[in-house]
Amino acid sequence: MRLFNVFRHIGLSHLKARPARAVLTTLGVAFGISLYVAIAIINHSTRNSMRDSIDAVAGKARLSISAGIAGFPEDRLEVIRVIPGVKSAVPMIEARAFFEGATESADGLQIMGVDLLQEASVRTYKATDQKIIDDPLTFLNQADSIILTQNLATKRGLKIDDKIRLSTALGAREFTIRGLLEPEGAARAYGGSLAIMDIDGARVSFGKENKLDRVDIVPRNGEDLNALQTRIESTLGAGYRVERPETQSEQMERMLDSYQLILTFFSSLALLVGLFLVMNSISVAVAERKREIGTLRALGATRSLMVALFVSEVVGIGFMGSALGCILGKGLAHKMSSQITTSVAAQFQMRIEISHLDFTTSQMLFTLVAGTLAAVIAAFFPALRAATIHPLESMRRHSESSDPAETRRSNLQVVFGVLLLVFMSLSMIFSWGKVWIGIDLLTKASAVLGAALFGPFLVLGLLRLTRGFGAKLSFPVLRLAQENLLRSRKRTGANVMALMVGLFLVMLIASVRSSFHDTLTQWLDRIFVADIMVGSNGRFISGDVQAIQDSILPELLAVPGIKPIGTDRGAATRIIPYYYEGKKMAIKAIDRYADFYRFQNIPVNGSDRVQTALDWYESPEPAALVSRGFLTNAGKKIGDHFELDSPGGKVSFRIAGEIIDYASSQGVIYLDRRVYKKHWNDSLVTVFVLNLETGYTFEQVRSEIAKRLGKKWNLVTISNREFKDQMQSAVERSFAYTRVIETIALLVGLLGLLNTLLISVMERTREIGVLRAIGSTRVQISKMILFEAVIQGFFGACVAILLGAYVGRLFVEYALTEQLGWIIEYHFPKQSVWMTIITGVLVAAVAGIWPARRASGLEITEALDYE
Amino acid sequence: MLLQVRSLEKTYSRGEETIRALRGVSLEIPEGQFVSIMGPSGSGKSTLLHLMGGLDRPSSGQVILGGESIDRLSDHDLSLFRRRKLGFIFQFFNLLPTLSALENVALPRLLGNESLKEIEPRARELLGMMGLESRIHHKPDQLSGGEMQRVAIARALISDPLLILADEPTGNLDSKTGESILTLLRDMALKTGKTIVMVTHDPKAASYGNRLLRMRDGVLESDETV
Repeated sequence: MRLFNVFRHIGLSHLKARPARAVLTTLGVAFGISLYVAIAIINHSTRNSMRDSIDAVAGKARLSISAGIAGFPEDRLEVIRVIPGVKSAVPMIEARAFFEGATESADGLQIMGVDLLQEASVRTYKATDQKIIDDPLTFLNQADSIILTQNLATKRGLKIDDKIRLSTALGAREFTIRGLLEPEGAARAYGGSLAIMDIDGARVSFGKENKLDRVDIVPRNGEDLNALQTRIESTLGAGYRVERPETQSEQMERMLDSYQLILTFFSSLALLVGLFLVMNSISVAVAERKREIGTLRALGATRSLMVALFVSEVVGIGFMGSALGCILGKGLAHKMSSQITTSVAAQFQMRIEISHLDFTTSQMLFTLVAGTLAAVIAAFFPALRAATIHPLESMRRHSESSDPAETRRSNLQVVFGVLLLVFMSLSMIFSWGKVWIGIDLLTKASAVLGAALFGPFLVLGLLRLTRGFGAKLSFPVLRLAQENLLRSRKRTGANVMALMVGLFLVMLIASVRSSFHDTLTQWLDRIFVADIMVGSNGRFISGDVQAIQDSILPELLAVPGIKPIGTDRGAATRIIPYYYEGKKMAIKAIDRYADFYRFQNIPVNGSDRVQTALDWYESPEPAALVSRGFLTNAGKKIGDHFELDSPGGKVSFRIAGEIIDYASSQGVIYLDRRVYKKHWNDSLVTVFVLNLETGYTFEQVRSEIAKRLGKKWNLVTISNREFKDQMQSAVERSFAYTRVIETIALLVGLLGLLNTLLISVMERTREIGVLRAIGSTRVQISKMILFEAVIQGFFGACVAILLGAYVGRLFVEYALTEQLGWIIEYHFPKQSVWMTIITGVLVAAVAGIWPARRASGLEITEALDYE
Repeated sequence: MLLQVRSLEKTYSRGEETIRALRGVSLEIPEGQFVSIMGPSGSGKSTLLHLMGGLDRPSSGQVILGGESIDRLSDHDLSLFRRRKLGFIFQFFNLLPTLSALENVALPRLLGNESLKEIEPRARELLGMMGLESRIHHKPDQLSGGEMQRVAIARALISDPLLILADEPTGNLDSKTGESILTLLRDMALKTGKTIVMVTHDPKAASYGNRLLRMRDGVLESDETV
């Protein structure tokens, strides 16, 4: 009741008296919350969509059998059907197909080749014309039949009986849409990017003759699933995966964990910057209202009541900010979801179509409560300082004399900041985060908090260093601005903190991005020296293309201008995803083109390149080269043996060396394609690598390939340069979402600086009055405030670059390598240096306009009387 | 005896220098007196006022108000004590700029559990006594210096305190307004029987009280009835 009284009569009156500050702080919280909400929505929806897809495809099946992307022999179906406990076993062919001319994954769709006569026992479909499902004979009688989902048809402007051209293993083929599926049952999967074909047609089209990709099992009533699973596994032997749908979900979710954790970390940073704004706002409000607090204390307000007063002022701001953040976050999630799924696809070779963005009422309520609580916690510490203000402050005239306690506090903050940075450094170097995830989160939070507390000290150091330079300038306003900044360590520190944290985040992200970008560029330059790549359409660089038969190679080599690679003319690579101990890795089965590896740069890490390549190829027993991710996840070392499940059974490989490859962060395995073909019975090829004959240009060869084979096979030919450009733009796309994070962090930083600048103008009202009284013009006052803002922006950016680059280096060299399994070398983001400085100065200048106008608009007499 | 001050000492440290602001001051003030404390700057008069009002704690000695030794109270209890038993009038008025005159007057009781509705009749009455009936909804920046100090006096009276402490109440006012404030204080003391302790460096202001204490270098130099 007492608190309500105090809030109603004092707290509320302050909020009403300074609506701009309340609005700025609310916006700061809202922006911070919005990013957090957006990432939470996307993370949650990604998982839900993944689970939905798996459940929708599984239907009534309780177990599913698969053997990797290459499939398994069709005759196994009859073996499965007679296993005791199996009620029905329904086969399926799974493939990715691309609309003709596709260059993006978004143009791809999942093909489910099914036996419509048996489907009803496992999955349900509801078509706009139900006859197609209920009486599928018409559908089956026409070989070019395909059923799309209503969603996909609407998106692409298609209707029943329309023709579509898709890339297949046999080249481009035309299909006729015979039906459209309502978004129910299996049609909910893959966000609707799905097509149903007859199983036999799919086999032929996607190079899977006499094969199956998957068999779904519906057990007999009352059957013990564990026992049935064991029976199937022992009947089929090695090379087969028998899984429950929920296990598949769990495996995929585990894979996403570290990625989503990084996303959450970045979004938490933006939230943290927003909370800094609250902290700053209350901190300066306490300083500004020192005399009022003293008076209230003199009049009998207790310490706890003072804390409660300031905290209560923030409750409304936190709540409003969180509510606004929820609304903004939903919009942001729509904007960011495709960027994030692209990034996930690039990193995990896993395309997740988010069917809908979920933001449940309970999530919203949680955000409102948590956001308000976070704002209250942020306000609590500065509010505690209100409690320490002595009642004697009521007797003092406001002065800016330095308070020894204040100086002590500032020194303590700097020391604490340094300690946090030291902890962060040690924790990253010695991987303390591996011990417990809490330490990992603490390490990342320490990086930001440490920079926020230590950064302003560095800014003041730079200001002092350049003081002499400022003194030499015959520009009194600039000098005055510089002196003003140096005079109040606390005020300058508070001003610079929010913007600096925003810029720090920009630099940290730039460090990570540039390290990825430059490491990949160097790797590509080293490994990819061939002139031409030929494949089907799709997304070339991630191997997300329609695989084609290797029988095309002789036709390719016959094209004038093509020079084969290696002595045995082989130049094909098959890239497939492979689950090794639950981790989704990539197998790259590469043709023997030993000359290529002998004379070019095989990306071997830490051992003799040529010797390793020869050892791999010439080995009498099957050998493999593996990436660091594989070694870490499998717990193996060079020389060890490991087993892979192939449709023909388990195959043991010796690890001949470590290679650097970025196809999968979980692990990449290089196999000799002869060995792969033999054990996997898969002659499909993802990409052909070829060279140009002297005297021919790339364009000549490309048009010749298009003329001879393009139409038939739907081939895409790209040059070395184009491939590398695609790779670079893929990296850019993978990091596209970070631009949103940077923008939000900078926006919050701008609001923070604007808020503190406004307060600093208010604090110095009397001083500004005196300056005007002794002859300063309004323009000079305006310039002085703008200079102060710009100087803080400039030095804030310099310190942000320094700290961002330092933390970025540790993050890239230790945390990322540890978490992602990729060896990423640190590359200083040179191009971001000027950008960060320009952004810092511009943001500061924009933030300075309003306070400058306010300062220059003050009336002298009022300013002189200001208390 | 309403107020007893016993052997009050107060020392401050300023860098390496130790300043003895009060050197064993003792005095007693009965109920209903209007006491003026005079002295040059640094004589310790404000320090004495702060210690009497529980705004600061003595290095040694005792302050007993209404039979209660206030130097032994915890910070929390001291806050409650100030709220209920003391009224303050400051040199710079110290009104809350965002509150109306009425709310400023009601403030000490608002800090308690009372609603403005409960306090309002008394606050209006006091503002009426101060001649501010027409200004009750004005904010401090809409009031003159004299009006602001009248509001501050009304605020000092709202809790019906045992003792009112005034620190240079006319120090920030012109002489005419200052005189009207002092007249008001004196009349109020006579009418309500309130005890007032006022610190001033102005002999004319001091003459409004009925007892004058003079201080120099932290000691009570003289104690005379006016």
